[in-house]
Amino acid sequence: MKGAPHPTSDMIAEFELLEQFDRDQRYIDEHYEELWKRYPNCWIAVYQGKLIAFATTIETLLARIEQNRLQPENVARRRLEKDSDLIL
Amino acid sequence: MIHGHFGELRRPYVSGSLLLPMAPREGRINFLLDTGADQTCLMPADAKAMRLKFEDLLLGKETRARGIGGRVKVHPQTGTITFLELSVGLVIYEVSVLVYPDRSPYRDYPSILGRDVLNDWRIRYSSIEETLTADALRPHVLIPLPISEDRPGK
Repeated sequence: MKGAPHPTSDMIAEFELLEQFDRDQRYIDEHYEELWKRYPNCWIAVYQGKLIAFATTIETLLARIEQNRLQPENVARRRLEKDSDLIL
Repeated sequence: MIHGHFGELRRPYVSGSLLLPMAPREGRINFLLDTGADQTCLMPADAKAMRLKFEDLLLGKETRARGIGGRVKVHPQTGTITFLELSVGLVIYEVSVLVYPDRSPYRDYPSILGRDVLNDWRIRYSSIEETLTADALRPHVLIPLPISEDRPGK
């Protein structure tokens, strides 16, 4: 293992961003059925436990996240699918 | 301990931050854990969230990846992936990430965390018991940040 750097405010911010993102991914897991019923085969974005955007393409979803004055790379995104191909 | 979660079709996921020199933004990624994948892969939807320009990748190296579905040309990019280990800190790996092309069917696929990272972890996996945790036995870099899972105001 390389030497351990000292934590900086950037690292603490990174910790909090990633923790929020992970919480929102779990929100999607827990509400997957109801989200899928409302937005089947759509991309959705969840931030701080709230659905903030949905779209049929990832490009439109990313644009709608930006319209909410959020940075798409920090927001939990998922495609809701039930009838998709299996991933092998 | 790194905490994963089970998503649609009970797929196992873990959240991480991916930094690639060619991408303007560091991306938060919901990685699908895949012990059958030799290397970690970035799929187009996540690459777009990081504002990665696919045309820039064409100027760089190219390699072939083989899966059950056939062969595809991918672009290896060296980057760092950061994971949260609550009460411990940030666990960081420097790996070569395979960036998949922006075309079907990859557009709808989740990015994949492969054995280049998973080989350094001890994973406890039980879909029945709703358990998906990992210990990073051999992190490339560990930044201690003893932030408690149960801290007030979380």
